[in-house]
Amino acid sequence: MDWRLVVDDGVTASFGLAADEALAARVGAGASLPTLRLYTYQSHCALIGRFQTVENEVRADYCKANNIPINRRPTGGGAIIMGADQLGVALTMPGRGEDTYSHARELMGLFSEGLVRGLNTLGVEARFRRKNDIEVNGKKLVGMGVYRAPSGGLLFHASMLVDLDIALMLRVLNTPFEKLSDKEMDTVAGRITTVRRETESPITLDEMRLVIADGFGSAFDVNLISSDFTAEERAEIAKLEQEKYLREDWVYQTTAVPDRNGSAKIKTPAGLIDVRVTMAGSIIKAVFIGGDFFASENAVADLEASLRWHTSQPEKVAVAIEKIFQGRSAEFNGIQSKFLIEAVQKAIARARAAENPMRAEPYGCYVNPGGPYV
Amino acid sequence: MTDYGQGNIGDILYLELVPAGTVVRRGERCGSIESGKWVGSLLAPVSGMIVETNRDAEADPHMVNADPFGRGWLYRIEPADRNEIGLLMDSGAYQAWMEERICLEEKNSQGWID
Repeated sequence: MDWRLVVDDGVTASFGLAADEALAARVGAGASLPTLRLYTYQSHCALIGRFQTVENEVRADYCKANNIPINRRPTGGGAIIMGADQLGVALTMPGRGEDTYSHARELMGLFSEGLVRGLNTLGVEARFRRKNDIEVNGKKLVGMGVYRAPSGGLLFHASMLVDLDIALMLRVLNTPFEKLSDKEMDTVAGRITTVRRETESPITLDEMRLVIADGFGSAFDVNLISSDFTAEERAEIAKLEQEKYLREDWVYQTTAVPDRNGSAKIKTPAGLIDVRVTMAGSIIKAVFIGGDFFASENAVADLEASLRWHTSQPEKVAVAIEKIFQGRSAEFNGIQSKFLIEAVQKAIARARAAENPMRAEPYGCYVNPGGPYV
Repeated sequence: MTDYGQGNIGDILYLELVPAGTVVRRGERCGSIESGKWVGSLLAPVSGMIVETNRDAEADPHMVNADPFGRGWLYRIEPADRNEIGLLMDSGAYQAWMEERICLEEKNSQGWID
């Protein structure tokens, strides 16, 4: 089977997003062939998830002063920055009628497999973890998301950190938690990794594209034929940019689901546990676990990530925490799971009880990584 | 949304519903939904006019997971053509379809959704 491979660099936020959505619609309708797009954005832009709120996620003043466009993806998940060192991967495939959701789930497995195979050839021990992340030893390297167009077309999107200016990211994106110290912020930023860091090499974006294209070719057993957008596609992309992605009512829309914060500190025989939680409605959006207990960074990152986009129901939170403990109890160095469960549940209860939802304490997808999509 | 539907897509994070008064056509988009990182469209089951939108579910989408046939309803639609209702699956057909789906999903489970 043949797929198209489209490579483009330095695209604007509005073009990049409109192209992904327009192709998903066309592929779903049978008007375009399945297409793998490997592209980069003009440095830099801030892209928030489908239902996020700009003021929560992005430092809009900083972006304005530094000519950093802000836009909203068709796909869900957290806020990210994109530029010349972040590879955008967009695969558009036809759906399958009423069965599209199950089909998407199967394809998501293959989509992540394509990325993982590419990374493995570079010696990067990347794994598909949780719902939509590729991690290396608990650190997030790729965020993924899926969008289904009304035509049934499916868009699988990933943003791969070939490299990342973490300091810039922290200036562009809001952090999810109140009052993090600089040291705590370093900890949070340390839960992200990049291909260049993992390979200890200055791998270029073009080299990266080659291995990723090979990964997809083998995972899906397809031939990739280098191609470009057709004139008809370009016209539709331009129309969608004008009607949606260049419009403030798309970018600055708000959601009815409020963000709420809560925190809890618990003294335990093994040290103090300090938990901060941000909730989107009744779902946990991000968790930070700090304090003065000793545990491996990877184990704590793993625990935080396992709770991201997780239901906040107390018993399910307890099950998720126990599950992580079962696999790596030694790394928690004497901290008992029951104390962590108690601290997280207490922070959640406080967030739920918060009378005034705090809309100005957001997070970025990569600020508390390990955990959703781009 | 049916109970099977909500269970299949998992925890719903966000909903965007169109307002009452919107005229919709069968099979066309009438809102958006995000669960995990899947974002999809809500499609109208029949053509007609939306006469009521559940704003409570929009503000607390967990209602759709917790009580899909009760508080988690999405829209009340006045059908433009009642014959279209006959095109929908009845409970027997839905049961059979759902069982087939569950069978397939068990075979193909990739662990994407918890």
